[in-house]
Amino acid sequence: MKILSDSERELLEKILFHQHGVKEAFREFILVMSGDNKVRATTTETVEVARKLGRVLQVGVYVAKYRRSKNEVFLSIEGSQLLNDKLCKNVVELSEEECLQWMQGAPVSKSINTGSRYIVGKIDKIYLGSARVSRDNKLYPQIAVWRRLPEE
Amino acid sequence: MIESSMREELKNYLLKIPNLKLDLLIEYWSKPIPESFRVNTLKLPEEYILDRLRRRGLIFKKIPWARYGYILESESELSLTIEHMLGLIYIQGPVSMAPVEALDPKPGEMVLDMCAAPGSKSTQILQLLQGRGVLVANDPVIDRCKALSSNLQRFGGYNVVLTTLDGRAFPKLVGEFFDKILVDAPCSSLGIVSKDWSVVKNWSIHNVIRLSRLQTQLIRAAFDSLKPGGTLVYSTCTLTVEENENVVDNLLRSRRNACVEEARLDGLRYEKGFTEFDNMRFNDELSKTLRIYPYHNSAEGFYIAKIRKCE
Ligand SMILES: C[S@@+](CC[C@H](N)C(=O)[O-])C[C@H]1O[C@@H](n2cnc3c(N)ncnc32)[C@H](O)[C@@H]1O
Repeated sequence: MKILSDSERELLEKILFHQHGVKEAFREFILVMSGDNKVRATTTETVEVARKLGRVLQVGVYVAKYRRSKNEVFLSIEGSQLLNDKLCKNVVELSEEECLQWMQGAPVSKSINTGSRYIVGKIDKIYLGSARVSRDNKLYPQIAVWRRLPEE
Repeated sequence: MIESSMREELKNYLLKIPNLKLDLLIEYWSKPIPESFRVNTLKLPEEYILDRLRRRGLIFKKIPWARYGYILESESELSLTIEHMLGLIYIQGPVSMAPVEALDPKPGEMVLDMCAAPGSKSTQILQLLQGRGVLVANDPVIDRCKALSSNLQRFGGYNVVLTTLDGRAFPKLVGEFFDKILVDAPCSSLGIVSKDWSVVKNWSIHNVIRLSRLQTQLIRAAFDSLKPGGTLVYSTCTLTVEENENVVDNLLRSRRNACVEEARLDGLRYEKGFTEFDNMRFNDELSKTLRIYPYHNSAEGFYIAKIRKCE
């Protein structure tokens, strides 16, 4: 279990502030780095319990993919839901139809002019995680394959 | 259909169970268990999520014994809804929600789900902890932990550790550590035959006795890992006495400070646990445990025992 250092946290916070206007992202949590550049959020007490036990497969919830080399952060569905209304920049409201496409992992065509390569999707009060924006303005949701709705 | 694939050995066993209505049991085994779900209040308010489902045309009614639990009354594939994929609802059988309600975890408590995969009851515990305290969700079968991990992720609880220990290892590792423990033990599954008919084909008393030994070791390990004053719930989704009353009786014999308590579950129909069976005689306290047959609630069959570690 590798807990994110203060400097790594600072960088993550900076990126999230820059990408989505989030102040002090995940401050109430301990952040743990797991394989594949994945960041998981949990509590101090949970980490203490995990240290007492053997055979720990994981702690907390996966909140973001964090590529330091590229200075980019993709929020998982749960990561965006934990940040909730702290997300105030580059958030794109979707219709039910677009939300369905998003959850199928399909690109969503939408004219947006955020100018950012990263956006977070939202339908009503529900945050849907991050998408990459292509040059031709398509949103590519970063949804894990196991999480996708099958196409009809 | 089911009756013809049922082995003689199983039929003779079931005929020995007092008050069991075998015809009715077989009838309910042949029917699907109603679709039901819990609303995930860790993510959004209950009414908001229910409103979304209503707008999709879903009709449902409240399950009286389970907070946030609903039975679907309209035709629908819940597993294909956006709400399921987003973790706003969790699909779980109605009676399967009863053991955690009996355990009643409270925010701030240290809780162990000893046999956790695929995670229905772990997510229910996380919901009741409301983000405070810690849940250890444990299962030694790595293949089953994949589903456990996905279900925990979708549900969104962060105060959880997933471990792959043999449940019997806990007392040595942590001592008297947990406020609440759920032992939803591996069992011969006679309460959920409608989900998997092969259960009746493969059932054997030999396997039941093997499971009973493991279950006795698991319940003891759980009891020894409880803080004084802590509570454990032992549950199975099967009907055999060897895997139910006999296991709890073994615990009462070996641990003098184990006290059985009656679980109070609104509107759930059941029969009292047995104090004798065949040539076995059990502690009278066993009548406080719950025997739930599929025909009692038109759903799964379960056995539930609530035990406190007296100080
Ligand atoms: C009835 S299932 C649990 C269902 C789960 N509680 C739920 O609600 O989703 C029983 C589980 O016990 C696990 N198991 C088997 N042997 C075990 C052991 N020695 N210690 C702990 N768990 C064990 C199995 O892998 C299986 O996943």
